[in-house]
Amino acid sequence: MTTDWDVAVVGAGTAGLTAATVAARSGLRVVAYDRMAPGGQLVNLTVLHDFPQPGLVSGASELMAELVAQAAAAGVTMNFAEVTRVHAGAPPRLSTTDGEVTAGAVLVATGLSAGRLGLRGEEELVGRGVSTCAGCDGPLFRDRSVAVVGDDEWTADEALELAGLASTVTVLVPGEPRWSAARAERLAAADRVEVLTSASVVALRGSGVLSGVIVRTAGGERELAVSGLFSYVGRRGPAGLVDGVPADAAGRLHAGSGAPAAVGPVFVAGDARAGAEQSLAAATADGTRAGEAAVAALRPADGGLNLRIIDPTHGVLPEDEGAAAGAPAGTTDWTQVALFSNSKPNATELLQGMGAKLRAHWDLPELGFASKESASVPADGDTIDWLAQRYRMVLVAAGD
Amino acid sequence: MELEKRGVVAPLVVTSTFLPLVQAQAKARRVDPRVIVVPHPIGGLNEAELAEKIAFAAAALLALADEARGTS
Amino acid sequence: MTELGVLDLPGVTEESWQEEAFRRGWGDGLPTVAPTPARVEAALAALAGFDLELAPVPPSGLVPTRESFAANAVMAGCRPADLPVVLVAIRALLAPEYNLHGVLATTHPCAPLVVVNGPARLDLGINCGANCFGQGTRANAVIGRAVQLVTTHIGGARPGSMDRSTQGGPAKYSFCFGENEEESPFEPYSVRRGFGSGQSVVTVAATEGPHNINDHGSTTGEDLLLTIAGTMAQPGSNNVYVKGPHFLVLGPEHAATLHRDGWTVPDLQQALWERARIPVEKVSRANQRQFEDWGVQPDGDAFPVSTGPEQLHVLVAGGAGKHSAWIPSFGATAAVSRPVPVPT
Repeated sequence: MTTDWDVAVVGAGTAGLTAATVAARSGLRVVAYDRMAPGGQLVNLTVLHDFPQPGLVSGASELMAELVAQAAAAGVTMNFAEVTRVHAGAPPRLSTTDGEVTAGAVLVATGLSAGRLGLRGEEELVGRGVSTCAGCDGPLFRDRSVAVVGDDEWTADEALELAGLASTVTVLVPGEPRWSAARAERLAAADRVEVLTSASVVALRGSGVLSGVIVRTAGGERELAVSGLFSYVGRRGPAGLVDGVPADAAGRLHAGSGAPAAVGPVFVAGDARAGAEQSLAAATADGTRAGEAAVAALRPADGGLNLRIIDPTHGVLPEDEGAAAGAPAGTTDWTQVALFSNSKPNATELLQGMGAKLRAHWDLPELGFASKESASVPADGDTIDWLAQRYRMVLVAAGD
Repeated sequence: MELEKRGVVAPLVVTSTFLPLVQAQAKARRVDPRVIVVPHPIGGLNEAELAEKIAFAAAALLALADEARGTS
Repeated sequence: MTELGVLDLPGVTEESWQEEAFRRGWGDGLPTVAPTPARVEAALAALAGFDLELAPVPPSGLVPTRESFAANAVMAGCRPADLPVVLVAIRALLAPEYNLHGVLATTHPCAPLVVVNGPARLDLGINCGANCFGQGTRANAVIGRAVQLVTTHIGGARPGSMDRSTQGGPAKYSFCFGENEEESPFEPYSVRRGFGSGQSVVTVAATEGPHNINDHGSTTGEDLLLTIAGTMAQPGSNNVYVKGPHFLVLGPEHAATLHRDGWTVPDLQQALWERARIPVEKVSRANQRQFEDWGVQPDGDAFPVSTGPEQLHVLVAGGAGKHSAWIPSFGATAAVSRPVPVPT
């Protein structure tokens, strides 16, 4: 059976990247799709509690960088197309925004969508007070009041993160909290955090920007004045992504009991799986299991004779390479400045805006401009050559 | 990152969301890029919002640019 | 998890290895030998006592491990005994003056030429005689191929991506031969380069494939030189403006005629430096302007094909017949010679 890939991973978060790495290290050809950046839920966090083990704290971006680097080193190919549908079959097919591909096995590790309360005016206030990412937007609410809605480990982590910035953090738990005793203790110890149980948000206040929320508790309804609302309820799994795989009420896919296989060689891992614990440790363990399951599924029925070889492409990066930056290229001087856009929406506008300020600041004649053909392809060598030869400084839109 | 290796001062404009990815790439390539971090997102903003992001990012750029020019 | 650099290819057997290798984009289009740990270990055994430290291979900048280096030699079809020559060739290729990064990234069709002198030729059966540039001899085929596979696989210089050659050339599959020291009237090339006469020496340079010089009619050295100089005076070779080293590989019969008429190697270098000239009218005005932009001026009314007589490397190779060859170069490269160490 010849397929485009041995394994296609949908979603490059903790579970997806872990599974991809496990499969690639077994010699499989692995692609990991993520319509955003790799990292999944880690993107939203800055500090991780009780990871890698209880009592320890580690940085989310460091962990994510590690996961990405490990995947890359194992030979995983990253792809930023969106997978719109997985068709079970032999072999499974994936519809993506870049076309259709086949894979020997598919691992679905999309995680959950951003939390939404389903209230009137909510969509309009996204980015104007309504957020789902404390790590990204937290600093905008320094010394202001915020509310956090949810009942799980992620909710507690986000609330703790916001407690370092906001003046008050009110955690609204729809029923009773599901977070661990360790989280509960930490929340109790944070003097800016108040936890209200059996509390639901019934309306949003504010025109243009959020100014408050109406909270209903056993004691009735009242308005809570907040400028930020971080919601971790109503997060949905990828229901309908895979043909013929049922989902639970939250849209998370049923993978069958015990084994992560959903249907044929299609596996579900991480928060997208019905019954998942939704913690980092669980996502890692789930990803490892799913990766191993994919490897096992692709092994031939006769017991799997593998050809063991020495990788002819293997090499190691020298220890101290790359420190030699800074020598001016050719004969360029500081009046030669260019912009290099990645062609993503608004990237060029942002660069031009920044460039205009630099022009005024340095009194420059004009700026050069180049752009990538498409955001999903690496810059071509000729463009890099041209820029390197002509310009002393190039402002690059690298990621948004 | 390739440009910096070639001796061009090449600040990378990245949003907070993409910063870890850029850091991971830099780590793999063993470079220490100059980075200007802008709050996510950039796409889908209206003019006023974009202007705010530009002002924010440009302040970082001017400081970085002056420093780069001053030291070479 | 397997150890780094070792791959377990699921469901792949020796029978399906070729398809798997092609699917992964490995090799040069011809079938390869699966680099199993046993084969790689056997290959490495031939390098016992050798210093296996290698510099980073551009463009990836990755340093080959001893295993991945040997894996490429195995894939190319090398016998363990071929490994020392491949190792020395790679080390010479990684000398800064060879300019491997430029060689791999250029649009020029250059290939890594590997010339072997000394006893290694006979030990390994490297063809120095009839059809020495051509097919049919294992040592020539696999040594040149192994060198190319290392830069393709570890350096990542895959055709169309980092290997940007416009047309490439057949020499890029493999370009390795030995000097026919036994039939040469001159001192071996390696001895003229300063190495000992009993020493095995590998020389590399980034060159085109060989360009034939046919002369059946000339009976004197002087007449032969007219044909040779005329063949070298090519307005379309990189030697016109990038200059750099180039090679004249004399067939033994041409070499004998030149030697009989009293020509020494330095005489040949000097005479060909003076006579291999491209009249300016053979170069379009626009191209002349292009050369000028690059700082290249004609010497009087003609362009020389290098920067001086010493840039012409004269060798003897081949069998019976009235043919010689000129090997123009990429230009921005050097002929790098390294001795094959005797293991300690």
